[in-house]
Amino acid sequence: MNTSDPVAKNIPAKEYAFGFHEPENNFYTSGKGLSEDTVREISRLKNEPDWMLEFRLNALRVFFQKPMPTWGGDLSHIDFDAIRYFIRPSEKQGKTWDDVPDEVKRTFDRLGIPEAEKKFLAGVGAQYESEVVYHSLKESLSKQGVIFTDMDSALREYPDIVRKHFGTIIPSADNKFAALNSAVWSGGSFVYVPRGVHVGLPLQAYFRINAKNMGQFERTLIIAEEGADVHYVEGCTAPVYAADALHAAVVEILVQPRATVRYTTIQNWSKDVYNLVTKRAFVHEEGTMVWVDGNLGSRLTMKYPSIHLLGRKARGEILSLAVAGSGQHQDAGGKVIHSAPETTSTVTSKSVSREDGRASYRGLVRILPSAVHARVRVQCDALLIDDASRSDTYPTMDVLRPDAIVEHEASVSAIGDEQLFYLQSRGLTETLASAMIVNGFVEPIVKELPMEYAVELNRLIEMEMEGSVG
Amino acid sequence: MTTQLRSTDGNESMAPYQVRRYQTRDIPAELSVPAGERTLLIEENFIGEGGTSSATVHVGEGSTLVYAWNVVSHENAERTIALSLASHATALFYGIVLGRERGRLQFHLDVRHEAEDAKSASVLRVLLHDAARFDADATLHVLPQAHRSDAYFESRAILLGEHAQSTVRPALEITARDVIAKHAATTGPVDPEQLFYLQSRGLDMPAAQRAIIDGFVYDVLRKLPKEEARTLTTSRWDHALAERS
Repeated sequence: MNTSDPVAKNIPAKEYAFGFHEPENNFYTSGKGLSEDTVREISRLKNEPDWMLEFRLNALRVFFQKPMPTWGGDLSHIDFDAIRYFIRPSEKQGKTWDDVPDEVKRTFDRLGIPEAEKKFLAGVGAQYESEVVYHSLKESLSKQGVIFTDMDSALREYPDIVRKHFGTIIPSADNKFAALNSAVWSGGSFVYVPRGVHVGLPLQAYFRINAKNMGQFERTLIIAEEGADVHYVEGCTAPVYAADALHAAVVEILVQPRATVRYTTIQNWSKDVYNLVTKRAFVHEEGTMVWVDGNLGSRLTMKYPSIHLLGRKARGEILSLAVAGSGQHQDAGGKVIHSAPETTSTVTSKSVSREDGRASYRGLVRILPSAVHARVRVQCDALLIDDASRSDTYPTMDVLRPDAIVEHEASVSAIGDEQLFYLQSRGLTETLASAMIVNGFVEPIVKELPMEYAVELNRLIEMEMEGSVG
Repeated sequence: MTTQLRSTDGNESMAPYQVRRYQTRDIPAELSVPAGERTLLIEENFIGEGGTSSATVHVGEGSTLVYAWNVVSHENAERTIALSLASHATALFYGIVLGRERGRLQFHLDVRHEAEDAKSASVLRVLLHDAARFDADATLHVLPQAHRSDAYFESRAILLGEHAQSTVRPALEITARDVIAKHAATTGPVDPEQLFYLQSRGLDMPAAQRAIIDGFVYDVLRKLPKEEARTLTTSRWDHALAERS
């Protein structure tokens, strides 16, 4: 049903099997388009405090005022009036397995995705059956004082912590899409790790997710108190069949002194999605932040995970992988701002362009006058598979101190003929040889992924190369 | 001034280098290196003149351009240099910049491989004293038809002044598959390990620093193909560096 005005219905409150509660009144069928009324309605249905409504409305005004970026990818086809800005989870059912494209089904089979996962990823199932697994994990986490919940629940259950940090790392006015997210955010994760707690297992949004969390405008906030250690993982290598055309998420991370946070993302959105994400971490004294960012899907990704090194000896690392296939533009990279003495960072980027895909590295290293004896190393490598492939590199090194050491290098090349010949002379087909070379090329990034992701990613690359060779 | 001098690279069968030496304010906005010829283009601005200027050089088929750009900067200036390469052309760009006082130098380099089998190598050496500022963007374009291109850009900056600053944006736009394209950029102080090495051999700190800086600059100057031109340019840099040591 498509209407230009929202339609509200009264339904009885119902209780989810694992403790989720629906608000007592209404489900909301969002019409298309964005207005102040839409934002007010979202906030009302979520029963949000007044400060959050005010935050949203201010962000909406910023969104309308800011122009579209003229750099990066082509954003001219985004129709903000055609987007539905809030959809309740119960509405996301209704799609059947028959509606899923054959290409997506084949990819699931080749990657060995279990049956239950297939349906969830395809948007057919509203709730992933791993809820049982999640439930036991949640119990062990809560014993440590760790909070791992969705953002909507966090706002209700932990209002003080959320209010203290929400929007402080990425303010609404940061950029147009952060403003959009700030106005209409829904879903996402909230993670709080108390002082000195080491979370042994990666926290996977995948388990935490049901359709409620997986949305266009996720808002994630992670707080690691002093000495804490946590690894957060989101996404998956399997293609995510999304009906939504725009994914504009915001991720804010606070790393307190001597804490460590690793945030791993593998995105493989379907190829009609605009993936425009703002991610930023503030790192205090002797803290460590690691972004592992894998971009495989979407029509256009513009994402530059950033790290502000605010305390002495803080450390940052960005590992970026981008694979651009036919019709895709991966505009990715990372930013590091050194504000404190003896801070260090490394950025490693690997990109692969095949068919008419375009992979662009866009990065910033900035050494402020306060960053005495800072040290940075950036390395970007790009591989072009086909004649129509394109690779770009746009780094900026802004050094405002004479004692900083900043090193950058980049290379672009094709698969070496000698390498191919060597492998083929050992009996490999050209397809397998090419896949092996590409997998070797991306190995420095892939080895940092959890094992199941790494295995799936290698398989995915083999499948992609089959389409490129011969 | 145009002078025909014999090549010193030992390859007497190739065309000799034509040497063209200009002050920045006198250099033509557009220049060409005719097909099959070899040109050593020396641009100098040792007096630190400010202002905005640009030059475009077309490097013809099978020809070679060696472009030596020598700048002392103590006033605000903006300089744009564009090189376009035809098939089998070679362009070697060697830039040396000495920034002083509060001079801000904005530099734009655009190297475009427009046809197959061309080679370019662009090297910048930057020394910044006092509160000098260097702001550079350098883009290597390899167009779809520029098969088997070999493109390289390198920028090395040493910040000597307490308030010296450097911003470098080396970019690659590659749309042909069978090419090699690379860039590298470093910014930092004089290497303390190198300083220690020289001091341990008996040099005092100023002498050690001067030796390192000389090596940093002459590493590029020695690549100039004409002995007479190389000697003249080197002596000018000797003078400019001595003023600051």
